[in-house]
Amino acid sequence: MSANQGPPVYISGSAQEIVGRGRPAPAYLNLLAAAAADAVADAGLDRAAIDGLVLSSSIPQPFERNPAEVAEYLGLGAAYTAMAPYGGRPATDVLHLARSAVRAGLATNVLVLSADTFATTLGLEGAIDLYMKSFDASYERPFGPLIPTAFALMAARHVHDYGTSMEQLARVAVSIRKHGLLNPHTEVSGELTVRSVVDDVLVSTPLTRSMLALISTGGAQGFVVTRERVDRRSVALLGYGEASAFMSLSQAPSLVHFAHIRRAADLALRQADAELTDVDFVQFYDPATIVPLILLESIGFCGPGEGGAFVEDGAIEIGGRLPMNTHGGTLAFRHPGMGAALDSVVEAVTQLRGEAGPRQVRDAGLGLVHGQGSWLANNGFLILGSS
Amino acid sequence: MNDGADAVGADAVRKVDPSGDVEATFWDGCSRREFWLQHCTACDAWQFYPRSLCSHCWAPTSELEWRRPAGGAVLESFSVVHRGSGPFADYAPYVVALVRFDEGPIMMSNVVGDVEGLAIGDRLELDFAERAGRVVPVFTRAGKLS
Repeated sequence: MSANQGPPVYISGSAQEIVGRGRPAPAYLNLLAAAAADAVADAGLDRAAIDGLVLSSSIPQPFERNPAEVAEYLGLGAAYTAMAPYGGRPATDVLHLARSAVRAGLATNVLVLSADTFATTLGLEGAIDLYMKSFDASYERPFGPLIPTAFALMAARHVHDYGTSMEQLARVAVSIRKHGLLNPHTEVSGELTVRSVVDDVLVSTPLTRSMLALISTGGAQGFVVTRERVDRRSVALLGYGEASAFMSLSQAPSLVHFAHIRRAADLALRQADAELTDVDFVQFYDPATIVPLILLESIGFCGPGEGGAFVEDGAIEIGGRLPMNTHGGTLAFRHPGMGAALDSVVEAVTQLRGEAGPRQVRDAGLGLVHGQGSWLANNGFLILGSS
Repeated sequence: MNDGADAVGADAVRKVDPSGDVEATFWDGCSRREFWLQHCTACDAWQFYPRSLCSHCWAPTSELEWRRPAGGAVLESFSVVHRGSGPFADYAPYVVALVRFDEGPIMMSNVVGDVEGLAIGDRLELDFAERAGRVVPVFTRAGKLS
């Protein structure tokens, strides 16, 4: 079997709707419509050219509108429509669904949309409570895990097995915060230090508040996936791999090293005919600082247990050997809900176009984007390249 | 520990009812302070959580049985939750743990009682705790009373 799985499709339009820290988000459909208009404008296409729509579910409104209803709302006319409505998704999957539709000849220019009004709809406590419902109702929730607890159980085991330190767990937050402060739309302010992160309030040991993702009021993302390259701003979607291996943590084969993560990343790289050494930057879903360490190790950027040492010397900072989460990720930009991984896709597109301004990675030609469902249970990797 | 007329011995074996709800059966056992773990007679594997087939060899329900684990376990990982949400706010700080039964399966639970100096690899013993009218399986450190 040939490694390459056919010609690439292109992400020719990309848009991100900003709500702002603590500000109530516009209504769900308003956000979706704004993302649609901005993405099509960014692609430089006429909206009449759009003949497909892939809709991402959001966390608070998983079934508010089916995709045909959204296509109708937008006045798309005859169009292929699909939705990824289920929980535990990696969120990056919607770009894969759009690529599949284009390759199957179902559509030529597919709009991909996601909007979340998360903490606006639910309030902060409601958002935390809804998140907790991700745990199994019968065999997990009776024991009171918070979402951070899932990552804390991994972190505690990582510390036990490999001697990973609190300072190393903190270093990830310090590095990614630097990137967030270069993003004009960040919802955080002020630098972090290793000491300030370690000394922050404990949420679920060993993780402190500064080692955990933000919770945002909302946001949206829009993309136009095209069969043809529109212009030099079109970014090639070269590969996508996805694999799940468990959902309940009690069923995970390990708490620190995951073969299904390697499998998903390898699938994406092989489609792109690329090696890890070709990757110029990564955008990892970062709900807790242990996650980037586990991803670095499980993908193979370093050996098992070496993630803590890998990040110690600033390797994941812009200018380092593997810049990570150059927009600030969910630790230092925002976490609007299901679309958090799509913010990573927006950033990857911006980097590959060379339009990232002060946070631009030099000579960025190939990027790896990770999306995750439910504590590394399900992982979807995109390989994107400049055209 | 069990004062009911329907008390069963630790070596009791029960068939898994092919038309029954294994989740309800599991929690019904807990309500009597009995922990029932599924064992597959076809491949001799244990499984948790309970299912209507063996997840190891796909043997049907008729090949599954309920058995009582000996109660010994090892702490795989744990986290002290400092900020409980909803009904758990009153319990914080509390210990959420992944616990491996000596029979093999892992479950999420709580470690209760004296948790000072608790460490991964510690030996644990199965116990039960009542919360909001419901009996849930929990663990204590071996040799320490809850």
